[in-house]
Amino acid sequence: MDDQTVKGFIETRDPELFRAIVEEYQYRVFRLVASVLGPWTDLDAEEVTQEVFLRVYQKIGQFRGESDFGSWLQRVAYTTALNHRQLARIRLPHDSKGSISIESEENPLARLLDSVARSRVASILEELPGLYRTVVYLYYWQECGIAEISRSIGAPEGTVKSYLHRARERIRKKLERDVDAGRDRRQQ
Amino acid sequence: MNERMNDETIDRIVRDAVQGRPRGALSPFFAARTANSAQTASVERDVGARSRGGSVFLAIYWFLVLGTTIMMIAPYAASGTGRVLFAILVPLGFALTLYGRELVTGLVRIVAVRVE
Repeated sequence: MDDQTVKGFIETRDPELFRAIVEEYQYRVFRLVASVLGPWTDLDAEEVTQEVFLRVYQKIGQFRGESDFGSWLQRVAYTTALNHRQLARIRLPHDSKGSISIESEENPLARLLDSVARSRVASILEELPGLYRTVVYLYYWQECGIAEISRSIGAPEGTVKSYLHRARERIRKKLERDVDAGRDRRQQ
Repeated sequence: MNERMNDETIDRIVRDAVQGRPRGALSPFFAARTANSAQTASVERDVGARSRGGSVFLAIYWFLVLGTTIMMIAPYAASGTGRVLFAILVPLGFALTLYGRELVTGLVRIVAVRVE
């Protein structure tokens, strides 16, 4: 996207230019919004993405051109999605025993443990700090590369790698604590 | 804890947890729909602002007109006629302040029909 399109839209408010901007940034904003909301919210990421662009349309006068337009847009998207997430209902997967079929050819106990573990991992991911959680969802759920995440959150690639590393460390610590607690219970 | 989970294990565990959750996708006409919504919302905002501006102007106008009239007849408030005038003008003032715009529009329409 060239700067002229954005400048042209700021000056003229031409709907065609706005449409060009939406076409250029829609997928990047959508992935960011979806990752801020997370895989377990009851919100529609497309609706929130549309709200982001409507806000951009209204507040474009506040964009002073001091920073890159993409970074400004990313901040609007992140804030809007975060506000929605705070009001959203998070439905984490539950370890339903009903979903385990005894006739299954696989080991039912292994599947049950797997289901419990998945539910626990989901809650650990949801407990991560906002930015770490977003980066983790962008990487593992939306399957974005480091470069793409870097563009999406407006941070250097090294910072993205660092966020991922710290997030993994937090996940590891919690999982290891769970494993230790389980082992202690078995030994008693 | 003897062994430490390595990054690959964490990767697999996290992928397992989020895999199967729908990633969602934008509908094909998202950009066109969003551009139209933005334009419609903008027009509605402009009309709303103009309408609010007009109402405020009319409210100030009627407040001044009626305020001046009431001040002029205030010395006669003690008399019977003065009280009657107050009883009529004060509610009329409120009504005009609240509904002045509609009243003026209605009157203009009636006059326009008569002239035709």
